[in-house]
Amino acid sequence: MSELANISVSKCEIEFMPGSKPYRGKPMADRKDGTEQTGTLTTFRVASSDELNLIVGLIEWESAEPEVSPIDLISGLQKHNGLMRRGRMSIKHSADGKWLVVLSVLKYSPAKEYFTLHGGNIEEIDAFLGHSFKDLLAGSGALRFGNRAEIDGDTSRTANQLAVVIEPGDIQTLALAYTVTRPLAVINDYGLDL
Amino acid sequence: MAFALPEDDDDITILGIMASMEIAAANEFSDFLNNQFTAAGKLDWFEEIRHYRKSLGAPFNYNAANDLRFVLNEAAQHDSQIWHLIPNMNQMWVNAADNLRKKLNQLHHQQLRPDLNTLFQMSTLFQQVTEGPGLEVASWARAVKSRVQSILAGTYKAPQVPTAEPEKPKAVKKVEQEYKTAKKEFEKRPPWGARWAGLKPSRELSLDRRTRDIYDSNGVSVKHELGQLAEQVTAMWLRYFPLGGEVWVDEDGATMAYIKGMPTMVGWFGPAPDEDKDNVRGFVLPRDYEFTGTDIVDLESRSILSKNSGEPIKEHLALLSKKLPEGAKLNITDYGDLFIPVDDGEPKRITRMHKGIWFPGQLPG
Repeated sequence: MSELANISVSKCEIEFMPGSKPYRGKPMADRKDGTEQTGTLTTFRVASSDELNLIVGLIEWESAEPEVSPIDLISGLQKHNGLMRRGRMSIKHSADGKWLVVLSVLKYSPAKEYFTLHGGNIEEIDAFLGHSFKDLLAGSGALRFGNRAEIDGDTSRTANQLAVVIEPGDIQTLALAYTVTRPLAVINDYGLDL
Repeated sequence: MAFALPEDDDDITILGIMASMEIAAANEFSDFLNNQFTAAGKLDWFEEIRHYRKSLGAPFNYNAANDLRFVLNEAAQHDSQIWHLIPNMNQMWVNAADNLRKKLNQLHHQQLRPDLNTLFQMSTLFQQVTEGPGLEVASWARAVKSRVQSILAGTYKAPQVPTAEPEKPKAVKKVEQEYKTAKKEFEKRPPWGARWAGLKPSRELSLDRRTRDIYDSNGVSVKHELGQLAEQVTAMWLRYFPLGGEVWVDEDGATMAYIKGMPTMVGWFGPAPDEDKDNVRGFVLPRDYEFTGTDIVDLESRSILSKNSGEPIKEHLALLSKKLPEGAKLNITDYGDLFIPVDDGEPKRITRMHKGIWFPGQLPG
């Protein structure tokens, strides 16, 4: 893989680590009952203006769907701890064999008093990002952006979920999607009425 | 006349343009009046006006005829000694002169935020008071307004080779220097809810929103250090920093936390300095208010404070009713310092408001 340049997105900086390495763990889909298996880990770092230093990885499992998962919270504020507990991003295969990423967003829940994953609302994401999320992902190489019905022909109860379709292994677009919907949402206190 | 125009939103340049326009207008008005009075054989006209005003017991703090605030003030008096000499004088001129005089007083006390919107407002007022009398400054004011509109609309393209700046009068350099000094002070200790511009303080504490307690890095509560102020301090911090978490306290107690990823002033660990003084700090918000006797009205939106503040305001209004006459005009700075605007000299703070007891979205945070 050729070395990717760092990307600045709003208050975050993404740094791609070269190379991949084996990773042993339980895939997100099987984490309750499943057994450990080996995957391939490719990592990037998300650093922010409020002292976040988070290592995140794309894990491509032997026999499960790939996922993006926080690997190590090197430093950060108390509120960043939620990124380790609730920040995984699942990846599914689209009807045409590409990768489909559901764009759930970490949002502060006043009832629970912590950040939880909510369905993505494009206007609200654009507001805290400061510009168009769709254009950001398209500029990075995303193939399709919209709800799952529009971009993958989904007719089930998940048809309205906001999602993006990317080329398999496109870590740059994955890193942007992850950074905006997880760290940047938490940094901006998304969901908290200030 | 060499016209300085803004190329961008640089605050020092904007301030310099406003101060230069004031001097140019003052000199033009002064020359114009001098010629008129000299033709009438009144060489000591300025001294005569001074004696007249003093004889009425009115304050007269102007040293020379080329102080624009003198011209604006004298021309607007009901027994003005100069209004009949100024062409195209009308009530609109008087209103603009009154407004410009107040803004110039704010400018000279480092209370006018030098941004493009302020420059647009000021150049509009300069145009209104100088166009009728046919002064050259009116053309400058028009050019500034046009340039500001282009910059704000994003259509202005600065020349690749910067335009040579006209030589600045000494008085303009003085205004700029005073502003730079004031700006450093503001940046060192910004208003509550505003961006923290200094280094991160060394003492790290943690604010727990559930227990409303404050802990040091060993998890030991330090709230007792605040004595009777403890509840007031935690309430202020949580007002700006409702999630709680890490805060950093400087040696003088100024406290910073990250809010939406930005280092932000959230309050003081201890009493806020200058709390017992009545000096007005910070930039005046570009809005006017009036005290009705029982409430405060935003004169632009006509909204009533008691119906809009996020927190109960009844007690504050009751206290204000003891200090303010009905119909008092009010202004507020970004530090929350509420005061009655004055034409001349330094205003005095009546009380300090914060975002919880003010109109939503007007104060920082």
